Amino acid sequence: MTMYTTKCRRCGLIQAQASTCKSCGAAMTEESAPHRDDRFTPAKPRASFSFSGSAARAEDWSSDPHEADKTLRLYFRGSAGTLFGIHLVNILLTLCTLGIYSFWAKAKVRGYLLSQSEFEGDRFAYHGSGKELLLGTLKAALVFGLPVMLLQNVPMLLGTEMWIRIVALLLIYPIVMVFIPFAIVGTRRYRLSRTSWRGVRFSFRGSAKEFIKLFIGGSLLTGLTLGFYGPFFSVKQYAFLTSHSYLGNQKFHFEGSGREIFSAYVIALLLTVPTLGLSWFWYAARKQRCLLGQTSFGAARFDCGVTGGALCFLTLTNLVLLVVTLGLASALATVRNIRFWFDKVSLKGPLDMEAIQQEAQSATATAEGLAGFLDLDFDLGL
Amino acid sequence: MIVEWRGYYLDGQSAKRRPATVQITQIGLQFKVEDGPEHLWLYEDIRQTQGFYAGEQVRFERAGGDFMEALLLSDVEFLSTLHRLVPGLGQRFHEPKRRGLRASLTIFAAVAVIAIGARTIPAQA
Repeated sequence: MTMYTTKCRRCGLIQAQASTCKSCGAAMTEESAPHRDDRFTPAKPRASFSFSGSAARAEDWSSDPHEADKTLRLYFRGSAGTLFGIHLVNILLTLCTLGIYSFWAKAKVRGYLLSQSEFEGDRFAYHGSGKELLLGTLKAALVFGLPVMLLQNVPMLLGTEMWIRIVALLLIYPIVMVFIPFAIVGTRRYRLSRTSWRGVRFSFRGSAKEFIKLFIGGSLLTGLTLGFYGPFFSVKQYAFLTSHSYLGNQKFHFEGSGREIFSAYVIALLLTVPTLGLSWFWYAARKQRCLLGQTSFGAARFDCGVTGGALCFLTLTNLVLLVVTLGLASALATVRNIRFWFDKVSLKGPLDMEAIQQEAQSATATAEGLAGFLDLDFDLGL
Repeated sequence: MIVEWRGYYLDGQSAKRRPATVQITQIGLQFKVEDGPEHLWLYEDIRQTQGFYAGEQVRFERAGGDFMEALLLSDVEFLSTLHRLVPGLGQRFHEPKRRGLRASLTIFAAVAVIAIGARTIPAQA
């Protein structure tokens, strides 16, 4: 069966023929030429990169205009068993080195997870090192840990009056409020700069100052509105982090607003007690669908098919696995998480490989170390 | 007999990958990029950054000039052949035959972690 689709002239999304674009709502004019959608035709044998020995010959299918309209997916090729083995060796070496090896352990796990993540027949690569993470943590300890420790302990050691101690402790809050967004931006900058695909580095080019302003303003507004500004705030954060991210010279784009998830937020809030909090899985799924559905890279747009039920099942079964095995199944939980999201997220539309040109940016691991201090975790473990 | 391997070459400048035919020589990897020039990468100039685990593609990188060039091969047998044909490489590149040793070390690590845990937890209790 062959299905004809049209391409939106405004956002570039390829979709079934309709009067308006299902993504951006723009009117679909007759000028939008129909595309043959090969997803609905019998699959023709496609050369695979996984050849052995004499090998098949695989071409970059992006060069074929029909193939370029296909859905592009991420695949995770790793196994929980191998990751578990890496964890075991990491634990032993971390114990033997009194914790110092943990930085190299982190780099090793990231390297493994990224090298097993495949997109368009090629794996991602991680270029970070344990040494960078160690130095980053030491710097973060100086710029963040030391002032906080001094504010906490010096007034007490000097035997100052109570009000001075209280003021010193209160000063910690603004410091933390500044350092959390700094750590979020810095971690993203560092991790993207150490990740590449097809030899081209990712990068983050947003200003930390701008994000700190956004974060402090958003946090205050969320507090003042008793949390109702929360969805708008989280979309603004995502928008900032995404629209300043690049692969080489190509930028990721995001065009969305908190309005689209506000009603889902209110429903989840109202259903919190009757559903014992499970309603938030449906909100999280709705949010991810909305965020990724409005994210694009070049002419290709992301799509997310996650549902609340599936997310709830994944999280609860992972939790049960971790509890029953006393944490030994953490490798399995990580692999399940990655496979789940890779299965749900896709990129639709043409991707011009020639247009993606290297434009690497420098970054340090200081904020990554800071994130470790603040116990911030930003992703699936990648 | 000349053994050729098929792989991909990444120039580090764009995300376009180019099919390449790779040959193992005594001094380095020689490869011809489709519709492009022939390269010779000396072993001392390149490092292996992927291909240490089952199912992982083998990736060699060479930092030359402003860009990191890479050569990708999906057949892990390439590494065994490389070690067989060029015996002096030592541990510069991963030898898939040693994965059994790694499995043994992992089992040793598991036993050691359990032993340390068994001694530490009662002591804390």
